[in-house]
Amino acid sequence: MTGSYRIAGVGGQGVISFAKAISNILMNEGLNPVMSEIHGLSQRGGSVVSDIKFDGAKSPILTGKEAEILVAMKTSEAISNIDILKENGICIGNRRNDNGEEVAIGKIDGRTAYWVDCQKIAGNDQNGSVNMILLGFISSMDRKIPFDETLKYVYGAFGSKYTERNTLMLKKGYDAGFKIFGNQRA
Amino acid sequence: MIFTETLKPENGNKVLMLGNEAIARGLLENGNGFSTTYPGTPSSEIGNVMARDGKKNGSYFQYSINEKVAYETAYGASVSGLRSSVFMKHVGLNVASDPFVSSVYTGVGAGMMVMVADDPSMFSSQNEQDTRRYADLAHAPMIEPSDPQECKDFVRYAFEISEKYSIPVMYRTSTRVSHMRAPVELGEIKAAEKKDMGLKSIRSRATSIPSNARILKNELLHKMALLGDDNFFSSLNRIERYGNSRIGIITSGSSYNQAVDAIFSLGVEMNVLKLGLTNPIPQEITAQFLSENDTVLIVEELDPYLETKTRTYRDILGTGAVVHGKLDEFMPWSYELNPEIVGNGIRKMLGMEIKNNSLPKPASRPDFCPGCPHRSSFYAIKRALKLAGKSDTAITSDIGCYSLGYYEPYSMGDSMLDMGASISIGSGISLATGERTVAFIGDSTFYHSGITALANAVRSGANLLVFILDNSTTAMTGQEPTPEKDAVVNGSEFTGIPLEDMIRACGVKDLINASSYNQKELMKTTTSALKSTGVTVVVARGECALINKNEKALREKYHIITEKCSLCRNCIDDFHCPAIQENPDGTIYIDSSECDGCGMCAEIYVCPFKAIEVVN
Repeated sequence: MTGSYRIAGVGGQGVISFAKAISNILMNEGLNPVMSEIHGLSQRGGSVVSDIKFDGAKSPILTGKEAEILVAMKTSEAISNIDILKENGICIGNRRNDNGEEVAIGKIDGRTAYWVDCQKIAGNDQNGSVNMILLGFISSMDRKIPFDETLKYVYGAFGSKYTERNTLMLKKGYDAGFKIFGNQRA
Repeated sequence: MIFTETLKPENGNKVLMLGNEAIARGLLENGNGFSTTYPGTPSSEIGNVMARDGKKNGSYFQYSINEKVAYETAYGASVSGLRSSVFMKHVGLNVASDPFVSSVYTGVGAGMMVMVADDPSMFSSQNEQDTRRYADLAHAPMIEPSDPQECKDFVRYAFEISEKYSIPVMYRTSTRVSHMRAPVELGEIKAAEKKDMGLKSIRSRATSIPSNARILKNELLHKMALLGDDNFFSSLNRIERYGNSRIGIITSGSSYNQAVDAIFSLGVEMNVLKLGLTNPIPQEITAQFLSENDTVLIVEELDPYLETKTRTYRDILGTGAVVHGKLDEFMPWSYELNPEIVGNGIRKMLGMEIKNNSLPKPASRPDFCPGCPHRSSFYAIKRALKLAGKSDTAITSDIGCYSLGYYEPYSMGDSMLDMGASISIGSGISLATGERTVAFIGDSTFYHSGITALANAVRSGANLLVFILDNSTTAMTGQEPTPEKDAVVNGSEFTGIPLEDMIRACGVKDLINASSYNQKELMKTTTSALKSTGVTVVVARGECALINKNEKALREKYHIITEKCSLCRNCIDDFHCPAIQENPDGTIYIDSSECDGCGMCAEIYVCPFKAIEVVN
């Protein structure tokens, strides 16, 4: 009946901005998203999680093995959130890949994982590139998140000061995904 | 936090909005003219939006010193003829409960909305009290929206009920409604208007002196009885039918969302009575629902509030559905609901097998941000206590980010109850034990409820060392301004009240200033202050790491020179900054993407081997 994402990271990584981008794009596609976010004390220094459900769901809360896609901005958050993912769900995680691959395809707890080396793709360690690269990567994989819609949202949502860098990182993430998925988007 | 959505001019277009943003938009669309708040999660974003956008429809806005003052200030505007609103978290209403309960007797002038956000599961709170009990206790009408669209749309009814019955209206949400984001169809922003009325014309009912209050009490009960029968507001409530069945759910607020998803997930046929008005219970539709169903499950978070009302009402009717809920153990009393938990309640009612709920992942422990002044303060003060042989000193803490000092490795806080309590509890401990006690309180919390506690401590001769951790902001809730400094909020000017003046006005003679980012000085100050007697106040200043975060991120970062590092682990085990991390081989490094460049880890007290240096 519904589709769902969990976005996980730590404070300051832009988890909520990322989830807002996905939700806005889903809304523009007519998919009626509901999104949860956590503020205040539980956000301090620790894990930040945002859940998105769409297409009929009223509750924004995800419970066990319900999410179709888990986006983890930090490797440790992929591990600690893996139980929320369906058995056939997909994990997209930010990780340093040992063998220098931009994207390593593997398994995590039986589920398919795409380990995206955001630092390598960014070509530096700039703060804030992780969420743009992963957003670009998702748009290469997920039909519900078209790349041009993503670009349009990012243009509008963030200050023009960051537009150039955001666009570049979004494109780099998309290109890294396109090498894997081509036109075979899910 | 960016709230670009609130002021979009689109009429009829859908905009993705947070529940709290939608409430603010609802205020702007309904001629709200005056708003106040003391920020508290999960209600804070309404104030943050009004602080920025209120003037666009002519609304005044202020961050008040505490919830009681916020409530009374908004009430003053209402009896002057301006539609007014006040926002707070559930425990904030404890502070504002005094004016709240009596203002329901006196009634209001122009409409007054009292927005209170509950926090089931205690994501960011010290308890999960059920605010609906307050509406019942005070005989106040209560509206509960379920999603951002309703958060905006129901504001209209709050003002209309408030004005039709001359009564403040409780607008109750919970974390999952206030912090839910979903598409909202916007209406037009409507300018605030001042109604032609004044206090003089209503002075006999606005003065709750006993002779008046005795009359007002009966008038109040009469108002509530009329509202329970008033079909003018029937669009707040509705019956939804999923298939053809004589089994139902009565629900409201966030619980409604969980209930409907549970029904779909189980694929069962049921009816749902969704109440938007939950005090008083709307009579006609509830009676209809109880007669149309044989069995009804009450789905609600926390206390059996709707359940008690429904069971009582059914008894009065003498007929209708069998009611299940918390009182007969079909539903839990603690924590927030989700579709899985509601699903089990439905299974039990239908005689189906109960499924084991997936265990919620234990929430990861929150911690101070990299660069947080509290980490540095606690590290230095803990060290001073240890060196003075006073590690077993009783330490009281308070509400704010520094509450996290409770956790290891800081262990700075043996008690924490409510706003301002560190000073009063600390006084009580020192008076009872004769021992010098240490209290921690933040700047915003001190202005909120610490002032009276400090005056009382001085007056009663407490032996208390108070640290006011002044980070220049109400950090936890969204970096709102505190009364210490001059500020312009929503176009209005606010005069700063210097902290030192306030402390001295409480009768404190022994006042010391220190910096959170000067560990040597703070250790020396603490050491000498521990030796004094009477009330000593140390103001430890250090700006919140989240203020001007982007500029701070440009500061020079630190790294660990592996050759110099002795692996003593002091930085990682005792200083405990999230940016300092461990490699699989046990060596320690600083994650430059998390380091904010505060430089405290490079202090000799944290790294005696001088292995932490600025990255060249």
